[in-house]
Amino acid sequence: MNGALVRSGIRQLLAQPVRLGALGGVLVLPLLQIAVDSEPRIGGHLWTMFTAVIATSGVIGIETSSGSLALFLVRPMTRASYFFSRWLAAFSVALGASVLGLAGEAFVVIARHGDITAAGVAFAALDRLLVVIGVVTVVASCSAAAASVADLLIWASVNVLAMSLSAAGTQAQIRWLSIAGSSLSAIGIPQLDLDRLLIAASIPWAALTGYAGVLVLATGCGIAALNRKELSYASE
Amino acid sequence: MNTIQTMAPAILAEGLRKRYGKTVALDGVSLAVSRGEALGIIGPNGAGKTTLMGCLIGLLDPTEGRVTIGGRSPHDLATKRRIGYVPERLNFSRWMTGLDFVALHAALCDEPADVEETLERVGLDRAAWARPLRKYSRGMLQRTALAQALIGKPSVLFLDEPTSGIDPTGAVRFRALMRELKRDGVTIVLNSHQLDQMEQICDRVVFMKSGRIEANESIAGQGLEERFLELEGACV
Repeated sequence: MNGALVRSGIRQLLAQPVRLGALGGVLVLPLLQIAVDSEPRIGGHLWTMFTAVIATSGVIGIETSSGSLALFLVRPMTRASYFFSRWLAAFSVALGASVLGLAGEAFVVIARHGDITAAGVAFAALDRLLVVIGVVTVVASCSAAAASVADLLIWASVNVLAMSLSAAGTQAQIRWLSIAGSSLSAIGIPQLDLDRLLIAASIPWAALTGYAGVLVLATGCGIAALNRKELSYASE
Repeated sequence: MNTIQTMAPAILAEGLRKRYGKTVALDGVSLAVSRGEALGIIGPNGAGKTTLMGCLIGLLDPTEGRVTIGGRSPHDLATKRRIGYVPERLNFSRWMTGLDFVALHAALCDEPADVEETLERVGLDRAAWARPLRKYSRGMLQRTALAQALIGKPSVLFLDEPTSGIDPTGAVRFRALMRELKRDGVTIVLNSHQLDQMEQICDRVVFMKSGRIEANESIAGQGLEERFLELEGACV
């Protein structure tokens, strides 16, 4: 990991007006939702997922397309080190935006005298942290494999396919199809069900190892894709 | 072991082949470049010059054959500490200022040169240092790219069309800088279409066509332009 590369990555992500506009949108929309809700409360992690996707999309792919990546990879650092530096940059932006979003939601709920507790906010913060880690890792891996922002297309395709399989499995009552859909969904959006995790009588190892397994697999695929990458316009 | 590495040529390529599907970009290219030597690569468009350079610096993996720089693989971190690279395409990190861009690359090197001294050395106007790269002309971008290549004090320098947009003053300064680097023992590989520049900088040239080296000759005592036209004609 390289500190200068992490800092430049954060600056690069925040220097793109389209990304900033999209991040602003996913921060404001849940606030509007809470502002008009008859029972105002802090929401789930749906918008956090989008925040992480927007923050990470193209984090490596844009540098591949522009030619910046070639200059970085002739420097004395491993491609894995580059990957982790860019991952940390995207994670920092996604986490910062998520914290800002959560603070905003808490503020609106309090202003509207809604149902809010410190424990509830802490629970939501932990839940969103886990979603940010998971989604940033998966999208960064897609970005290592794809040029420009094609990672967005890969990630969306995986999730659309997961939802289709789940829906088809449920409708046709085919259990393996539903399981395939939910497994694919766990890869597209790695998350831990904190409700189940906290009330479980014993440690839910299957859920924990499943989440950690997706992170390790995605990281491995991202680094492998970067190691195999050919960086010259002559290869295009 | 150390003696062998000390005696090894600065750059050695043996039997390089590179295929993209059915297209053969390099077809059995072998060459050796001595320490402190300046080698020019010339040839028509699509001859495989940029592919050769990509293989030499480790951005492309040859389908067959082997490359060593100072006796080591181009992927070795010790090798990467010794090389500098100016790419042909310069649309990188356009949100950064010239100064920030070179400072970032300095932070990625183990023992970098002074950033400001390097920018002055390549002749980038001080008034432009704080401007974003997107506002630079091609010539200014080329000076900045050259500065990032020199910032790691390289002993082997790869230059892919480094002066195609530089004004006459800049071209004169570039040639003087190359001569200075040669005096300091830096090995230079220059890919350019500017034959007069080749004559003034290089000790030897290789003529490439259709992925092969058609001729590998010392530059002394002959008109490069006539020789190039002669080879072009002979190969048609």
